[in-house]
Amino acid sequence: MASTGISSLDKLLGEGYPDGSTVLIIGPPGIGKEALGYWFTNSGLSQGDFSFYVTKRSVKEVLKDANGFGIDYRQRVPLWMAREGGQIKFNISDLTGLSFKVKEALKENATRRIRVVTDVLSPILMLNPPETIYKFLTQLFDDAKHYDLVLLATLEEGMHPPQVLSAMQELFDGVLELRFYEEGLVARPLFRIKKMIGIPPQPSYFNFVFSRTGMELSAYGK
Amino acid sequence: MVSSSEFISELIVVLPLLAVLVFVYAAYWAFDIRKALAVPVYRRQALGIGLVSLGFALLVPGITGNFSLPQPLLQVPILILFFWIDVTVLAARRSDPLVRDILQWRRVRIVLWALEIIAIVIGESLIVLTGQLFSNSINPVYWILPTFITFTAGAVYLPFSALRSKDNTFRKHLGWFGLFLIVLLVGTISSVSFAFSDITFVLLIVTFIIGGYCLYRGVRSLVPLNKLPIEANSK
Repeated sequence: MASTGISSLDKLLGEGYPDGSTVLIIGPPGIGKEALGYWFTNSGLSQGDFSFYVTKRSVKEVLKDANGFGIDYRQRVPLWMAREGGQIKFNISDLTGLSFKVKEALKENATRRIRVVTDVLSPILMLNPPETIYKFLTQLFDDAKHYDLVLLATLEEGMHPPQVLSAMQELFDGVLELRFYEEGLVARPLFRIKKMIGIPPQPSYFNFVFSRTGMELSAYGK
Repeated sequence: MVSSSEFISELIVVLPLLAVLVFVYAAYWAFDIRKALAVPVYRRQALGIGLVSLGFALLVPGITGNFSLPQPLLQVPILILFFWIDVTVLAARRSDPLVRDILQWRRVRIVLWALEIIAIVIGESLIVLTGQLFSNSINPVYWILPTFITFTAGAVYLPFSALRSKDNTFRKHLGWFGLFLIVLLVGTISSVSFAFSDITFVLLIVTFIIGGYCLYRGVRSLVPLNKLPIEANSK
């Protein structure tokens, strides 16, 4: 098990994300999906795991964003594959190159426990033909099993047709959902584990609040 | 039996109140959604639209003559609108799959913010020195320049933002805001085209109510608000 970096979420999942699993975090822009990736990466770095962060943004932007959630990557640095400022350059239009570079990085660090976090799934799905995407994801998922790594990917709700969202949820081993709900005169963000390999389906919803020390989860219900 | 003039007199009292309520309700939702958001740029966007809603809630009593902003705050609504445009364009970049800077906005915004602030500071100083609110030296700097910058930036950058963003919720938000501006523009132009009377005043306020509704829908489109699932309610 790889700790999520959030103690309340670790409790819900057992001890964390199962080794060799691919986990999808789905939610609308602004709800804080990336934060789960920041804490997961941070937790990996503190445990000496190889943490690999693949982002469509620049490293500077991610660092600023992560800092807003109380995470400072200056002490321990993940391997960045980013549009700007990373050790590896990210190019969305070259999925073959991306696949190759990911493979290389994983191979070089095969002796350590590996954590991969990425926010590039949505742009990949929007900008590439289905067969290319399928090939890329199959390769990535094979690598996840081969290296027993944990892959955490965020997916934007509201940017893809429902059938694409359903297909992605089918493909991944685990799906964490963050959504806004309307309750009377209040907009309420709720979290739930839609599915996770190794644990039974979880019907419960949770209130969540982000703070600089983590994500506080509390059971939702009347 | 209520005569038509009495009915219009009643409308003149009730409708502005209704318009204020619509704008305040929109502002309430904007601030509530802001609380639910986690990412700063989206929180600022919600804050911006909430302040715009509040600004219009204050503008209605301004039209009826019951309230006016104190002199040093007269251009604050323009600054609030510019603030909302600024964060909206920045937010649009995040939902562009290629994360492109929209027409160099990250650089242009610094220049435009500087111009807005300099113009307002100089304008305020001239007002204090001359004791006049309108004059040939004050009008271009204080009234025209900040308004021109805000509306031009909005007209150029917001359509581009809607095109670049692939977030349907974001596009809906901009769509409703665009409709709000069109309704207000059409209503205001129509009202000033006729001699001012009770009827034109009522029509103007009705336009504000319709515009307020569009703004409210725009605010609600900041995030996709789902209905609570039954299983969550039954917990």
